Amino acid sequence: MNIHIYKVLACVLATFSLPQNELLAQTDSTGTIKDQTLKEVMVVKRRSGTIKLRNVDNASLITGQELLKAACCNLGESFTTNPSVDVNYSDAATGAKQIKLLGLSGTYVQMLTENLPNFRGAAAPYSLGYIPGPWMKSIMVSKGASSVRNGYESITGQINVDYLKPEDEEGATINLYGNTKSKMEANADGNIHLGKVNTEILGHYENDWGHHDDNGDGFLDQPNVRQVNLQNRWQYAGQTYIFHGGLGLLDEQRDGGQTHHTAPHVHNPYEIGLKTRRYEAHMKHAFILDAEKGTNIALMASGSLHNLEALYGKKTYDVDEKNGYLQLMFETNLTKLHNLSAGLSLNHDYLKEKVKSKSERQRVGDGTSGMKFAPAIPFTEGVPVVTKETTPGAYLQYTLNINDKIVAMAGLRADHSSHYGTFVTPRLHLKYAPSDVFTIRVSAGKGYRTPFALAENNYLLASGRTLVVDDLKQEEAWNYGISAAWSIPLADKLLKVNAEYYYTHFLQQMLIDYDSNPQQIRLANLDGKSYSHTFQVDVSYPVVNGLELTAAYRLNDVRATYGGELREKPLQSKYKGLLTASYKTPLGLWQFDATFQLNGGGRMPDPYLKTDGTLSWDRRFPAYGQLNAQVTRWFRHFSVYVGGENLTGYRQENPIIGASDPWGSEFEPTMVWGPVHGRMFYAGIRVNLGKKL
Amino acid sequence: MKKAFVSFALLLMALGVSAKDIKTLVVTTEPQMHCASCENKIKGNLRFEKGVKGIDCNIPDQRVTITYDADKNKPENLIKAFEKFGYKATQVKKDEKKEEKKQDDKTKKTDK
Repeated sequence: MNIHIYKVLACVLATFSLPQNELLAQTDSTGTIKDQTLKEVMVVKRRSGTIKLRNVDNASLITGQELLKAACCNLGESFTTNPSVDVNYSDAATGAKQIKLLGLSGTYVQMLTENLPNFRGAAAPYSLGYIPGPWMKSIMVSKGASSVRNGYESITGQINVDYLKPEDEEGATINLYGNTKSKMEANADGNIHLGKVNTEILGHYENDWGHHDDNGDGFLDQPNVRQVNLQNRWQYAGQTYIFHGGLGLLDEQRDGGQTHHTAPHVHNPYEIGLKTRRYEAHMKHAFILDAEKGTNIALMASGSLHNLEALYGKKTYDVDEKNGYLQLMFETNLTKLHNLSAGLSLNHDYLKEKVKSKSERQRVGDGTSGMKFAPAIPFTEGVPVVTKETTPGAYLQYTLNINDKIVAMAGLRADHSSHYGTFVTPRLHLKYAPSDVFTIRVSAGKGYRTPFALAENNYLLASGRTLVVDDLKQEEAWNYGISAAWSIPLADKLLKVNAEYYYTHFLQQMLIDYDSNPQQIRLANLDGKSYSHTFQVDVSYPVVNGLELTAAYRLNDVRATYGGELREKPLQSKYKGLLTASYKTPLGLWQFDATFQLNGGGRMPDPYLKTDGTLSWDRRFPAYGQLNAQVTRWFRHFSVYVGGENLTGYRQENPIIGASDPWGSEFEPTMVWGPVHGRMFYAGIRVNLGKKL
Repeated sequence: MKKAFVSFALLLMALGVSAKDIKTLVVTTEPQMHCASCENKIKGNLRFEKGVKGIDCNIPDQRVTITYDADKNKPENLIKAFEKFGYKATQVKKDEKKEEKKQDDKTKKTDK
């Protein structure tokens, strides 16, 4: 009898520990597995890796199942099979990557871990590598204006990463991975239940020891990264009180550029070195006041210290960033139909930045060192500049839910930035699901963001151009979206079709302007129009038992005003096509996955005439395809996987412009639009100990 | 020659298939199955038992149907395998199934 109660409690707890948005998803039939017969309805045959949530906003959950379709070494690689999120290199020399959602930079997507904002400012350019793949339980991608609960920053959407939980089945997992580009990784996680208290340790180590320079330009194709990443997480669940908390430490050394192996005859190699140390902590306290009415108060807090010492050739950039975040949230179901959520928040950012040129003759700030700042930014060589912003805020959100068929969620928040004053964020979501077959969602909302010009874009210092930073305004944008989803029963299976359109319109924006002046990269305020239209259709169908096919197509029209002219946003693909096939044998002992991506071409920043009379680069970049595949075999206590990435071997020929003269003004490693490394094969093993499957 | 080879191969395969003694075992579990994670646990563990060809969990009826190759495994062993992951399985005999089916049918008729 006792075991029976524990089982029920375990299921309930598993549900409670999910983020709020996922709670609604628990009723989604796609979450069930094989051949479940519920009365007379035959539900899906195999659990989908990506589940469309039944939320009022347009959200999908990338489950652990989906993450096993590719090696997914880190968060950035987890979107390979996802039609909505693009992952691109920002810079070939440092390996900085960024995601794009709705055709816009990843900085407009609010990054959350366990529903708390994370990886701000200096952490943003490399944050996709800060969450190891095997640590993740699921990723939620929510498009368009999101809930006001987590702040005002999400403009194109939210990405929330859920880590493995201390309260999961007890056990441990060890994962070892190696690839043909001389990279190895080791991951370990283990948890233990100590009565009502559960704890977990997550560990990660990665190292590259290769010196691959496949295109022979003297530069490493990818930087060598050595990373140690550790977390300790705790959970306590009582009758009326639940606690989640954790500590994290990350140490990363990233070395790129010319090395003695890749450019043995160069006496003065162009070196890139980034040393990062990051500490973070978080805690969440939930007090359940009335379980029946869902009345609860939650107090959440997080803090991080992020230190980066960066060297780009002759330029150095050091930043010390401290962030503190506090949130108090109250939620209740007034009646079955009406839900109310209200809260207070406080965010504090502190940045101490120092830029320096290694050459004594050059002075930072006057342009001769390759850096130039607006008069309002008092950067002087070697003298640290401190930026502080404190933003208290309050929100109120009301949800009307009529049997999950008609849902309306209206939210309003007001915040006061010590830098930019008071601003108001309204957001509205509507969902209408007349039947199980069809759902339509509409959303509109505003978002704001404080740009941290150098902290977020310091990789631009690798360029030979002068980096000019204006006195930047707070970014401000409206986002509108409409999406329709169909689940059509077809030959005993469900054909899922999703069509959506999003429009983002900026009132204020920080633009990275390559076009106005070929000698400069200017981080400038928007002066004119800037918008993005995206239209996406995706279809998935389990053709035969165990085989699921997905096809998706997205069209992007992203434009902004550069130098007084409304132009296509550079280095942005006009479209993306995606085909995925995943087959799992009936008992799930074998799994075969293949993903083909077709990335459309786009505009390059305006080229200039070189001294030899030729153009510095082509005006447009071409479309290209990429194929990834993986085979996994499961055994009782372990699984092995082998796979390949970029199997077509397509590579951007010269990702580093002017590689022969890295000290010249024509040196440009930030013109990256395609893959920087060719075909790559990998293999790995996951060993499960204890009760883990 | 090619045709003969293909026919021979097909014959061998057919013999291989027909030689298998595929049976089903229906059990109830203690504790009961409540959600997808219970189902996952049962399937995730049971799939590695010898001769198992298919596992079907029916949560509303609280039944697990295991299809297995009787030449490779015995029902007793499969029932014992549940203990490895903290469950106790009890076989549902054919008579019980028939009895329950009759009961179900009766209920349906009365409903109508």
